[in-house]
Amino acid sequence: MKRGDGRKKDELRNVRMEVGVLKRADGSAYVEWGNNKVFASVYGPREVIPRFLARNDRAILRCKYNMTPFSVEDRKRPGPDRRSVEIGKVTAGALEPAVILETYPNSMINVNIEVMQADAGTRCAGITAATLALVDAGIPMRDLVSACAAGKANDGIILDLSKEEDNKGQADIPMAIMPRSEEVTLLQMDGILTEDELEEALKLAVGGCKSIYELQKNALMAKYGE
Amino acid sequence: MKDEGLKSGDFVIPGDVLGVGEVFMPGEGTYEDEGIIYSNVAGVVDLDMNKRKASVEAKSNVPPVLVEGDPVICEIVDLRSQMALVDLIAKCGHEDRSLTMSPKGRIYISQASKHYVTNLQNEFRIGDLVRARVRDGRKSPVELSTIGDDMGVILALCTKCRTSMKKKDGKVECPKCGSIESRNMSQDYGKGNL
Repeated sequence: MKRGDGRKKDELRNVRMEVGVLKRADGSAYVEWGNNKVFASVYGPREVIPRFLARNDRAILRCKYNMTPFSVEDRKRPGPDRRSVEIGKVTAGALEPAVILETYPNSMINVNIEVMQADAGTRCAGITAATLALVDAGIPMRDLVSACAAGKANDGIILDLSKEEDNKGQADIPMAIMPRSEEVTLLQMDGILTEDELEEALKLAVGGCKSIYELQKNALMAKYGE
Repeated sequence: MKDEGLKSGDFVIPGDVLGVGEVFMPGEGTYEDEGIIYSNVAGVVDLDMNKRKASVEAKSNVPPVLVEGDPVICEIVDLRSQMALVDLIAKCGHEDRSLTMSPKGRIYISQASKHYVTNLQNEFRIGDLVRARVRDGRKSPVELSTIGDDMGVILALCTKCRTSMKKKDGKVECPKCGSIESRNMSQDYGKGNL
C-alpha cells in the first residue's frame, strides 16, 4: 500500500528529540515529530495549590495541554477548550503509572505541554516529550512512557498517521505503553475497525512505541550519557 | 546475579535492570519490584560488591527533600512570643529548585540561640533572611533551629525604614536612619553567602 508521503505502512515520520531545552523549568524536552513541534516542561514537586487536593501518601500529577493559536492552519482561539482539557487528563493518566508518586507526599508535579505546530499525533508527541521532561526534572520513574498512533486509511492499517490520513482516514488509535513491561497506559480509538484490524493496529502501535522508546533513550544518552 | 554486561560507571535510564534483590540491596536512585532492582532515574550505576548495594547517581537535578540537619534559607514572616514563623525559600546548595513540600517553618524560642532568650524580638525581626538548620522535615510547619555559628540572620532589614542593615559591634546599624538593633547574626552576616 502506498501512502501520501511515500512511507511504508509501519514507518514512523522523522522524529527528533532534545532534553533540557528550557532554562527556567525544572525539567524540559522538545519533540519534533514530522511537522509536529511540541515543548514539554515540568515544575515541581512543589506545594499543592489548592491545598485540599494534597494527598498525604503521594504526590499529585497535573498535566496541561495547550495548542498555541498559530499551531494550526486556521487560528485557534487561545485558552483551554474541551479537547485540551481531555488530552491533559488522558496524558496525566498515561504518565501516572510510570511516575513513583509515593516519593513526594503532599506535593504536586506540574507537566505543561505546549504544541507549537500541530500535524496529527500531538498527544503522542506530548506524552513522549513529557516523559523526557520528567526524567530531566529528576522525578523517580518506574519506566519511560512511549506513545505512538496507528490507524486505518485507504482501507489499510498504518502506523503514525499524517494529518491527511488522520482527517480522511477511517480510524485512529493513539497508544502509550511502558516499554519494559508493555503495560498499556493510554489507549483511545476514533473510528470503526474489525477485530482483526484492531489487533493488527495494536501490534503496529506497540512496534511504533518501541521505536520511540529507542529514540527517547538516545535523547537521554545525548544529554546525560557523556 | 546482575544484568548481563552492566558494570559500575555505565549510564542507565529509568526502568533499566540493575540486578536481583538476592544479590544487591536497592540504594539511591533505584527501586525493587518482584525481586528485581531497577533504576528510577537517569544516571550512572554504582554496583558496590563489598556492601552488596546497587545505586544510581542521578545526572539530572534531583528534587531537594528536607532531612534533619539540612541548612535552609528562610524569611521571617511572623514573630510570636514563643516562636518565629518563617517561609522557607530554598535548601542551601539547591537554590535553583523549589522545595517539594509546604514552605512554612518555625523556629521555637529554645532553638533560636545557644544562649537563654527572653525576647525573640532581639533575635529576629519580620523580613529578615535567616539561615537555619532543619530539626524535623516531616512536620508541617518544618521545625528549624538557628543554634550554631553559621546559623542565624544573614540579612536584616531596619524596622523603621526597611533598609539593609550593616554589622557593627555585635549589633546591626541602619546606614540610612542610624537605628541600632540586635539580632542573632550568622558569622558571615552581610557577605551575601547563601
